[in-house]
Amino acid sequence: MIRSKSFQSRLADGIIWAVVLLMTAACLFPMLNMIAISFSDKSAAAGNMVGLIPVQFNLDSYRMLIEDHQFWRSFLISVLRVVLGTALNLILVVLMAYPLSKSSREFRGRNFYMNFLIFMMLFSGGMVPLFMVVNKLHLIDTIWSLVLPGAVPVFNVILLMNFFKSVPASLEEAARIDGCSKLGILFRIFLPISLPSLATIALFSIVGHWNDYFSGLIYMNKAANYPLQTYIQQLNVDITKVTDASQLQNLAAVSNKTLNAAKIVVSTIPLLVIYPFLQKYFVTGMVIGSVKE
Amino acid sequence: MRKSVAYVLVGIMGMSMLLTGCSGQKEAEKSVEHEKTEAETTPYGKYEETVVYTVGKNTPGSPRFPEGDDYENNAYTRYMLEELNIQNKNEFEAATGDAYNQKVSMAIATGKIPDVMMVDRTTLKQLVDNDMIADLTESYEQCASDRIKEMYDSYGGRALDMATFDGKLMALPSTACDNVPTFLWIRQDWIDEVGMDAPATLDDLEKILTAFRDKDPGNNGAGKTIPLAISRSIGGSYGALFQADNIMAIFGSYPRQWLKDESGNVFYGSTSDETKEALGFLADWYKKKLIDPQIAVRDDIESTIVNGQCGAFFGPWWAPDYPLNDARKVDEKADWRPYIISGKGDGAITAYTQNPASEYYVVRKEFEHPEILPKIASLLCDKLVYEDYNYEPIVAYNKANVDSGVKPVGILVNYSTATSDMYERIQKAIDGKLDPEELNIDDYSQYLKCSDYLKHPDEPSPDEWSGYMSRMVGAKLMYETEVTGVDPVYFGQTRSMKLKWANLNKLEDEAFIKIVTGEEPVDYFDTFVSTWKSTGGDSIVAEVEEEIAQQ
Repeated sequence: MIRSKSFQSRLADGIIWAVVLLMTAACLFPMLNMIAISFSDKSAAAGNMVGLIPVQFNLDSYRMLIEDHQFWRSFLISVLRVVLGTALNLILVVLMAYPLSKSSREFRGRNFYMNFLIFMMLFSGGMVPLFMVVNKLHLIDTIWSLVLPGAVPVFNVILLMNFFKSVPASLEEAARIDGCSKLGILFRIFLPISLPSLATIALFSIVGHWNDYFSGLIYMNKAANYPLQTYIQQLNVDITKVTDASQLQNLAAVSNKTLNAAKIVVSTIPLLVIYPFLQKYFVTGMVIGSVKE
Repeated sequence: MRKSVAYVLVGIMGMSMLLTGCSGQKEAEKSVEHEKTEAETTPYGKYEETVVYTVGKNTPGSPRFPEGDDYENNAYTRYMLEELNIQNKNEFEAATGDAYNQKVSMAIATGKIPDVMMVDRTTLKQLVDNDMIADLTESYEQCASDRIKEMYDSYGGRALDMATFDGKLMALPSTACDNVPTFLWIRQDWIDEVGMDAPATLDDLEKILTAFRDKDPGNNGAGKTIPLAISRSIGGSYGALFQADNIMAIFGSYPRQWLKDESGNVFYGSTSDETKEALGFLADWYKKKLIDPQIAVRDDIESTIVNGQCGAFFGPWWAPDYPLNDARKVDEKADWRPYIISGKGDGAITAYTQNPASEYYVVRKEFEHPEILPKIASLLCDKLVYEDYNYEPIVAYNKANVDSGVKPVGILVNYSTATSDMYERIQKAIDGKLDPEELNIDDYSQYLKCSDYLKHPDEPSPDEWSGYMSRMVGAKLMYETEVTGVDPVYFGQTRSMKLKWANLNKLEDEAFIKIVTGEEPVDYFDTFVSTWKSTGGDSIVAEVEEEIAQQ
């Protein structure tokens, strides 16, 4: 223990602690509040009377959630999408970043492809043309419409390319002298040392795919095919107007804040589970990949 | 090298254009004349072979289907298959609102629209202009049931006029029944607590709200009570919750409505001198802290009502169902009551009327069975409601709280007096003049709540209270109140509105809230009006006049 800390440094420590705790609380409170609401009485939730502790604790909303088979269907679709999408992203990013990390002397078309990618990153065709392409390829209402349009994330390609560039050339030379093929060099030399970068990219993909609701909204014509976030996004319905008495009985059900909270809580669990496993790579990966030698 | 790529691209584009052109023609040739069968000329005639029609389905927030059912296979679709031998196939499904509208735009952009879909008025016009939808005049004549025609006629022709272009009926609108007047809903227990009488005029109301503010009858703590809650948009949304329309109408102001003055000139209600006066009045109440001090940022007014912070709001007859039902569950003593606030206190009020056509259902031009739409409307809005209301699977749906929005075609046609009629029917059933068994499913469940309420009116359950307060007290008050209707003269969207209306709306919203909250003085209204006029308002007024002249 160091006891001889000066007053200023202790003050500084205190302030830093206070700020960090405050920020942690600011991030944590909305989640705790959501969890508390999901366990509360429906009317208390409608009255905004729930803070961090459930009011009239009950499991009704979770009981209703278990019976909501569309929720679970969408949940599975999202899981499938994440697995498929992330695998596809990783494969394509690696296969694209490796050749691009070579100089244009070694890979003649490199500059063309690089400019092409950057052009694509800056200018896109827009939503309607994209939809028309996906439509004409008959991808509508299939899982592929969720993973194929974004299969090559250019930003990640550049990230990994820069990391590959920073790998010392002597490593590659050594491998070649020992008789390793080009693919062998990629898979036996480059991939193992770029695991942190790959973890980062994987995390980007997983989070991106899991949280994206918009493509589901556009490319899915059947509500049964919605991924989870699209399903949840659709729960937000604005009610101020009723044109017919027969719509009234739907009102109370739509305004069910506790059930919606339960859905959101369950939908965040997968990411909460994945984060700790990947997070240790996350910070180092970002730094290593983005700094060029 | 680059040139050849360009040639290839141009070639591909040309070819695809040719291809789409061809397929368009083929479809047109398909529709050949043939002898019409009984099914094609009567409301309830059953097709011999199953007719499959594609639908653009606008879906409710959460349908709550029982296991195994979906939008193409549920109690309603099976009922329709059984009765008419028709089956829907959904081209797309999307939540009502932006998501659905986006799908419709995409479908129109790609030139492939479903056989039946719901559109708003702007899109309807676009479809008519591009000749993409079928003329329904003849099929409506033949295949709409008498009661459906009676229902449309109860709006004095205004509902169908909205869907008629050059004398041709191009769509069937959903009707929006009369839902005015809205009332002042106020905490009777608070009024009693502060020892005052029920309000009838604005002066009465001001005194009561002042007492709410000062005496804190709800024990919310000093300064926490919200005497009157009003929506951020202030007013102009017909029959909706939290509008200040009742107050503004006393000043002769009808915000956000297109009206004609005495000399026949069209003007926009939000820019009238009366609106200025009404906003000034509200600003005064805001200054006195009678209106929610957080009005500008309040998202969730319902919560302040449920948790007992709020003492009064303006809302329609169904407010006890939502949000007061939750308020009642939180506090059994919350005794919300409706009152009419009128200028002179005699209970006679004016209110603007609404567009009787709330949404439009159209049929694709080349579809072989355009009569399917009036047939569906007749089946779902007439036969199901008035004859087959005991149809077991749908009764079971209602009991399981399945959202009625899961119908393949959500068209709703009803009498303009639907709300008052409902009150009359339930009242008769309670008085024993009508056999409750003859009530339709919705009325019957409300009748049960009301009669249960009457058995022990001192301690009703929240649901019994909601049923009674909305149907027997709210709807009754609506039925008995003398309303002078002010009819807006235009509901559509003109050419320049497409570009400018969003901005003008924003300008209007901001001006209203700034004036009410005192951020700008009342005279700022004149600045707002001149900006409104110069940034497109004037030309839109001219366009509206032009379109009215054409009608």
